[in-house]
Amino acid sequence: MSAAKIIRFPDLRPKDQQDADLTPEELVDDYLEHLCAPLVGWVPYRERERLREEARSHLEGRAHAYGIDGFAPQEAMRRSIERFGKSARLSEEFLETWLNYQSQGKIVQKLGLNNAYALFFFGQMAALSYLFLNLRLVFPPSSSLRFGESVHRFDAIGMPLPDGSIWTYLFLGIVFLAPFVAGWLTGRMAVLHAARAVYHMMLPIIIGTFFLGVALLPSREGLFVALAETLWWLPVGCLTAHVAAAVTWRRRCAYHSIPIRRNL
Amino acid sequence: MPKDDGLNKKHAITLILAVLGDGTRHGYDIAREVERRSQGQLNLPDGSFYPILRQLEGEELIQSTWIGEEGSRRKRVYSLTRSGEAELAQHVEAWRSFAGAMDRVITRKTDWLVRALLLGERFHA
Repeated sequence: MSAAKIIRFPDLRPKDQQDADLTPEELVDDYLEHLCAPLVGWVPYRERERLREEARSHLEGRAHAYGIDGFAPQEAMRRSIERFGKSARLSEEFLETWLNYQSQGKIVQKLGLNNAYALFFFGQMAALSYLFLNLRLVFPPSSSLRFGESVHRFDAIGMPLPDGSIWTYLFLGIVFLAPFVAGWLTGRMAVLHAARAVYHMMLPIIIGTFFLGVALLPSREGLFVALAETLWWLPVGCLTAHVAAAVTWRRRCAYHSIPIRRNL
Repeated sequence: MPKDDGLNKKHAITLILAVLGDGTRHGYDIAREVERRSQGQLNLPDGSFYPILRQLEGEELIQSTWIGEEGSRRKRVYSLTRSGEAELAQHVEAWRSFAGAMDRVITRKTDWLVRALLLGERFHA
């Protein structure tokens, strides 16, 4: 005997009518779920529970006051929720406060968590591009792997781009792809003001790369990296970080553990 | 913080510290008191108070504790710390100075306008 299969048809009624079925308690649960769900993974459970309990108490208090003014319980709760504010915006404000004031570690506290992420990812990309740059200079195409001999070439020649070595392609590849990769990772990790964090952290990286490029003259690739960082990494990195952060935040806000009928 | 209220986070901090300066209160109570004292002019979304309360707690300007029994509806009440009181005094001083300066500028401009209008009327007469 097969188990009976329950088929749930989608509720096609307008949202207002769908909400008419919800009790005040369900409305509060729904709202609090939307408020706290985006914080999962960043804010510890205990803190989220505290926010949930305080918000519930607040909403019930405000709804009670509306009830005294003559509103029906459901309408009173709806007004109370409306007065409390949009859940997505409040989650964002709460998360921002949490990240600013609960960050661990001196460097992170000094930089801010978002800036620390941006510096970490873009710094790694800059270091990687320099690694490939130097490997290309030390091991030019058709050279043997005699390290000492190759180092002499490093000083003497301002090598043209490209020179056909595997390092050239890796170097150009990393310069091209870095803002996408680092921007996306930054946006995923630092969902609030990710583009601003990239902008703030790219400036010291660009300045550092520029001075390193000057130090590497007559080889011009160092300056090429600084130029690429300014004209390519900075705008594309900011844009990618912004898009990644928006996508991540939207997904988090859409997350819920109970059926939600309306995004309050 | 909604922009059309003309309030920024700094103002909200001042409001919260000022309300807590008069005694211990919970979140809803703070929101209601701000509304009452401003006669409904300062309409912050109620939820905006909580991130700010967390921030002030992180800066050790306020402290909080639960009241009520475990399991039943509890409320978290907030009160000013010593450093919070000092901060409140600074905020009040800064606001008075700012409001005074604004007032002086506006009043002077208004005086000048009134004089100009009166002069214009005399001229036409």
